[in-house]
Amino acid sequence: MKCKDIEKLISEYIDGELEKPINDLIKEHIKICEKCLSLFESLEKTIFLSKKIYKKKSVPKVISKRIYHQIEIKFKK
Amino acid sequence: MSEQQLIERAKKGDTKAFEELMKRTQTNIYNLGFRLLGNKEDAADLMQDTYIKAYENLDKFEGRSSFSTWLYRIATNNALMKLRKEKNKNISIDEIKKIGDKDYKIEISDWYENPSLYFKSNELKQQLQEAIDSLPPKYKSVFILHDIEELPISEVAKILSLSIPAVKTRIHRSRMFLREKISEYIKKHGN
Repeated sequence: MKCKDIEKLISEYIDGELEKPINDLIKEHIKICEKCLSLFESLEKTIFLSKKIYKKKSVPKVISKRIYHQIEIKFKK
Repeated sequence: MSEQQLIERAKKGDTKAFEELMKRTQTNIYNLGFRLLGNKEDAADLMQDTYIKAYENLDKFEGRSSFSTWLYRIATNNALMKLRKEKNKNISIDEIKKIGDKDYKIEISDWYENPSLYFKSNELKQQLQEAIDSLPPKYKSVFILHDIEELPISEVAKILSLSIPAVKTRIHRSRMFLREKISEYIKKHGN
C-alpha cells in the first residue's frame, strides 16, 4: 500500500470503518512511515482540539418553558 | 414510560407526553443548534422551530428511524437553510476539495505531543472556531454531527439523506482542511 492510498483511507481508519485486512495494512504502514504517521497523529489531534472547543451546554430553563408553553397554546385540544 | 408510548400519547394530542419527549432530547438539539449556528439566540430559535415542526408532523413519524434521529434531521435541515443564507463567509467547496485531496507535507516535529497545550492561549481556539465556521454548510453539518456530536456515520447519512461514501468524503475533507489551518497557525507562531 502506497502513501497516497493511505491518505485516502486515513479518516476511515481513524473511525474504525475499514475491513480488518486493510486496517492491518495501514496499521503496519504507519509503524514504518513517518509521513503517514504524521498525518494520522495530526488528524487525531485536529479532532481532539475541535471537540475541546465545544463544551456541552445545558438548555436555559426559560427557553424550554417558552417552547413548551407555545406548543401547549398552539396545539391543546 | 417508553419513548414509543410517549410518542403514541403525543400523537393523540397529549402535550405532557410531548413535553417529556422534549426533556429527553432537548440538550442534544440545543447543543447541535449552538454548534452549527454559533450563538444561543439562534440555537434557541432552532430548538423552538424544531419542536413545533416535530409536533405538527408527529403523525408522519413512522418509527423507521429513532425519534432523536428524526429530530436531528428536522433541526439540521432548518440550520442548513439558515447557514446557506450566510454563505458569503464560507470558503468555497473547490477550496476545501483542493486542500482535502492535495498531497500533504511532513510536519511531525511541528505538532505538540500533547494537543491540550495548544489551548494555553485562546488564539488557536478562536482560529479553529473560525475555520470550522467557515466550512461550507454541507461539510460543517457532517463534521459537527460526526466528530463533535459523535453520531455514527450511518446515522449522519440518514439525517442528511446522503450516501455513506459521501459522508465519509466530507468528513475527511473537513478534517484535512482544519488540520491545514492548525498547521498554518503552528508555522506562523511556532511551538
